[in-house]
Formats: sequence, structure tokens, C-alpha cells
Amino acid sequence: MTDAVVSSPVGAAPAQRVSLLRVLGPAHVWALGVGIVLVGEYTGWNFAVDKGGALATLIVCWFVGVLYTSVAMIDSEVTSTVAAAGGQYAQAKHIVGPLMAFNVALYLVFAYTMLQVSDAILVGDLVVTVAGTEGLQRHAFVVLTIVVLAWLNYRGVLMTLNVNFVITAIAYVAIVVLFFAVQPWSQGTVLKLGELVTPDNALPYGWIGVIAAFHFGIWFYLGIEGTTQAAEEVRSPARSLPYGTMAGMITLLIGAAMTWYVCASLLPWEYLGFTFFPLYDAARITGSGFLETLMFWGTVLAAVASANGCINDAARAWFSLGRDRYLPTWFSAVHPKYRTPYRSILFLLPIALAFAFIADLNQAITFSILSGLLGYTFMSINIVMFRRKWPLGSIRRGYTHPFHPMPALALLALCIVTYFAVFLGYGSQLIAMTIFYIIVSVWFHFYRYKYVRRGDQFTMPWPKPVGY
Amino acid sequence: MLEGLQPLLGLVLAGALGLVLLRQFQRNRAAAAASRGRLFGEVANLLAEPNFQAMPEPDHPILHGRFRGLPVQLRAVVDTLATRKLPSLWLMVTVPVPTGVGAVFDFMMRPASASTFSNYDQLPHIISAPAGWPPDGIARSDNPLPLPAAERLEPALKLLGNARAKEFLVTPQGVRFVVQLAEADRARYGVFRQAEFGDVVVSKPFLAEVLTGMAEVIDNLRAERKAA
Repeated sequence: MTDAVVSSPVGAAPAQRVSLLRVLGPAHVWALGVGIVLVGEYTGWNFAVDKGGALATLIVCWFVGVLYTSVAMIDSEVTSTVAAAGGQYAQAKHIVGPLMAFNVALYLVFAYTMLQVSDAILVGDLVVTVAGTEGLQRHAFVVLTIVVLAWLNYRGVLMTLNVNFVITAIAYVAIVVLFFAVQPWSQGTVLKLGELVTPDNALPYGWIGVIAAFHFGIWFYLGIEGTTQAAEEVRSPARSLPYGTMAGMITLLIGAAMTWYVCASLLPWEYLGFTFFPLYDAARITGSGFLETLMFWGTVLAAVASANGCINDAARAWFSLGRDRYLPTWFSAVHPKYRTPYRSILFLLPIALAFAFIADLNQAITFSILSGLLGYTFMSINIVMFRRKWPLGSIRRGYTHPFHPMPALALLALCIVTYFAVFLGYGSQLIAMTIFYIIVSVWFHFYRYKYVRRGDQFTMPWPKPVGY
Repeated sequence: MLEGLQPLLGLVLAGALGLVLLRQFQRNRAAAAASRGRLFGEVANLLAEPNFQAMPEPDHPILHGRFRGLPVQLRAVVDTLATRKLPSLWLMVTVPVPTGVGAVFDFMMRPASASTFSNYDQLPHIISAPAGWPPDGIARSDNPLPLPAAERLEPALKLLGNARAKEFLVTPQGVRFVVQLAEADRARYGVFRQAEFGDVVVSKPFLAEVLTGMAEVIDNLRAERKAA
């Protein structure tokens, strides 16, 4: 967070801020980690129960937490060092090369576009379920969600709803309220964990089920890397970046454990494994209209907040590809009045709508997870290359993550396990995505690269890398 | 009876919450509009003949005036286009007078992402920056041969020493300095993708220093043209 008054060598600050938080307050720290990721507690994670059982999901919840802790640490270091650029896309350009950057940008676009689709499907299905009207289909609500949010992003700063953290608070507090409402301290009163999760059904498919459950365990935390937004200049990232992201991870770990505990104690694992809204169903089981309403709104708000962030990020990644000539520069147009990447937003809109009609929720989530996984795999390789080419001390780093290369190795290992897990359930999708990225990479290399300004790809004032 | 009232109560509560949010939205938009009007509140009297050019939302008004007889334009631009980067509020200080230079000289600090507020990325030639200029900046030009002598641009060095300085541009039509006024609130952008800068007011001493430096550069360039 920038200071209210900036001191500078010329002695004068460019501006004063009349009202501004000087430091990242506790509420903001919490909100950073929760905002666009909380939807993962409301849906998606429970499909891991279908893969491996309730206990497998809990095990995976913590192991995937380790994966994302590594992601947070690694991303914080590179983001705080590749200043003014932001994101894995810029990191890839500087540390690996244009082809990797092209792929990474596509990972971002598809991970967030499919996450947006998942959010919209969730909202649509929930509204239809709650309405309980015969013949009512989700598609209208899905389209409404996607189109309205795309329109808000098209209008940009002008139309952004100036909501405060009450919206996010409702989504998170809803989980906390549900947790305490079911009296977790007295098992058997409301919660029946001992009856629903028994030695016979805790791991119904054995340890291979635990591996398979990694597939959807990713969903607990997917998107946390989006909180590492780069600042224009590296001033005080040692506090804000890793502190915010790690605090967010802790919040999500607690939330994930609470979510699992409540849902596994109220819903039979066979049902928990395929419902689209486990928390809402858990609230319905309690018989409390208040909890049911709270969970309904918590789910909708979490999904809408997440989808809004996804449209924003995906469009800007596509815009950056156009700006750098990795894609036709037509996509790099900026709206003359709203100053938004409007062509990128409009281009991705029908793609999102198409997937919203074709895919169901777990397919959309799988597409998002696969693209995210590819990005995390890149991160683990990227940080090793980064440290090797520019060792500690050779360039200024805003934050240095500890225990290198352990986080990178842990991240890579968990990614490999998750690829295998996805292969177990969605092998054809995994292969299709792999073929897709190979085809686009070939297109980029043989056709598009000639339009790229090679001299513009590396703009950091770093010394030559070791070995060059 | 209570059960029958519950849906009605729920509707009433939802309606009340909706009204609260709508009212909050309206208040925030009014506050944002007022804030935009205060941006140049302290510096207007630094300029002779100040006049504000109203701009449609969400743009800030543009302030025109004169400084030491030179026309000056102050414009604030919100930049939300960079990927995975906090939005910035840029101040573009432009002095649109003929400078007599034969080519564009554009020095950008930290040009690691697309410069959406500038044509910097479109300039075809990367050139060597003058000795002593900040190492984390890169200079570009449309034609590297007829560039001004480095010592003519020396007053710009002081401006670029500011940690928030972004761009120093010299063209045949004028000179521009771009500086970051504010960066978006990290938490609010991280959660809602809202570019919230708070209430920002341009500092008078700072602007005086910038305009003085730019005027000196223009005087140097004109002197060079006369000597030639």
C-alpha cells in the first residue's frame, strides 16, 4: 500500500491523499485472500469426495494447501522483482521467453474464463433449485450473469459497483455462522460425522482415491495467485505481497477445514460428491430457513465476485497478447471513453457463453483447473531458472522466499500428482488440452512470432543472466 | 402465521438491503465526482488564466493555463489495463509548444508492461539514454539521428529522480512529463477489481518544480535551435 505522502529525491510529493489507509489493515489482509477464491469453498471441492471419499478430500485439502503456499511464496518473489509488469505472463517473457509467455497468457485466459463459466453455472443452478419451478432451466440465469458482468467490465471504472467489504464478509461470515449454528463442539446433536464417515466409507477407493481427489482439491484455493498484483515500483513489497497472500492462505485453510467438517458431518458422502452446492445443501439439512437463505446469498455473492475478477483478468491477459503482437493487434484496442480492453472483453464473451452451454459444472471446473495447473507447473520451473540466471545478490529482489528449491520441488511434485489425478477421471480432456496447447504453440512459433518485436520482450534493467 | 410472514419478511429485508446498496452506490458516485473536481484544487492558482475543461465520466477535468508564458495542460488518466498490476492514476503534464527538435525522444521508466497512456510502444527505435540517466528507464525514438543534445535535457534528470516519475517525452510539438499520482488500493482491487485511489490532490510545490524543469528544457531546446 502506498504511503500518504511520498518522499522523493526532489523533495516534493506529487500528490496528497486526504483519506487513505497507510498500511494494509487486518480487514484488507483477510479480504485479499478471500475475495475471488472463496467461491471454491461453496462448490467444486466436493467433487473430490466423489473421487476418493470424505477423508481423501480432507487429506488433499491440506496437501493442496502446501502446493498453494509454495505458489504464494514463489509468485511473491517474482512479482516483487519484475516490477511494474505483473503476473506470470511478464515473468515468462523475461525469464523464459516469448513462446512460454504466450502459453502462460493462454493459461491465464482459459483458467479464468472457465472459472467465470463455473461461477455462472453455479449461480444458474442454484437459482433454479431454489425457485423450484417445473421446467425452469438455468441457461437464462447463466447468460444473465455472464453478460451483466461483461457489461460492467466493458464500462470499466464508470460502472464498477462501489461495494464494500460487506459483500465479501457476507460470503465468509455465512460459512462461520453455519459452522457455529451446527454446534460443532457437540457431535451427534446436529453433526453426525461419526455416522456419515466411517472406516468403511472414509476411503472407499483406497489410497488411489486420495490421489484421484487431488483433481478437485485444487478448487479450494484456485485463484490465490491472483492476489499478487504488482505495484508500479518496488517500494515495500516485503510486507504487503507475501503477508497478504499468506494471510489469505491461512484464512482459506481454516475455511476449507470448516467447510469440509460441516458438509461431511451433514451430507452422506455419495451425495456430497455430486451436489453442485454443498454448503447450501448442508444448510438445508439443518432445517433452518435463516441458514438456508444465508448460504444462498453467500453462494451467489461469492460466485459473482469471483466471476467479475475473472472477466477482468482474462480480458487483460488477452489484451496484453494483442499489445505485444503475440495475437493480432486488433485485440489491443482501448475503448476511447471507458478506457477498457473492450475488444478482448467482447471476444471472450461468446467463448464463455459457449462453454456455459456445452459444459456442466465439473467439466468447466476441470478445464479451469487444468489451465491453472499448467500455470503452476510453469511457476515451479520458472523460479529455478530465475534463481539460476539471476542468483541472489545479482539483482534487487523485493522479497526472497525461503527454503529454495524446496517450494519449487514441492509445487512440481504436487502438480504431477494432480495431472495424474485428472488423467484418472478426465483423461480425454487432459489430452485434448495438451493437444490444443501444442497446436497453438506451433502456430505461434511458425506463423505469429515474425510479427513480434523481439527487442521489446526484455525490458528489465538486469545484467546479463549467468551463462550468457 | 409466522411461517406465512417469512417470505414477506425475506422480501422486505432483501428490498431494504437493495435500497441501502443503491443509496451507497449513489453516494459513492457523488463522492467520486466531487473528488475528481478537487484533484487540481491546489494548483489552479499556480497557472495564469486557469480554466477547466469538463470531461465526461469517469475522466477527470483537464486543467489548462499558462506558466511563464508557456501553455500548460494537466490531465489525469486512470490506467487499469496492465495485467496483474495495480491500476495507476497518472498525471500528464504537457507543454504544447514547438520545440524545434527533429525527432521524438521518449524516456520511459520501468517499461515492463504495455504503456497504454503513451505511444511509447509504437516508437520503432530503442536508443541509448544519455549518460547519468536512471538505469531502469529505456529511451525510444522514431528517428535516432536528429535527437537533441543530452545537456539540453538535463533539467529532466531532476524530475526523473522522483520515485514516481514515469515518462519524459520530447517531440517537435511539445514536452510531456508523466508521474504517478496514486496507486489503486490493493485489497479493494484484489477482491473487486475496483480502481480506488481515495481522495487525491496534486501538490503545488511538486507541480511548480515540474513546470520549472520543463520550462528549462524548452528554453534549452529553443536555444539549441537558434544556435543551429
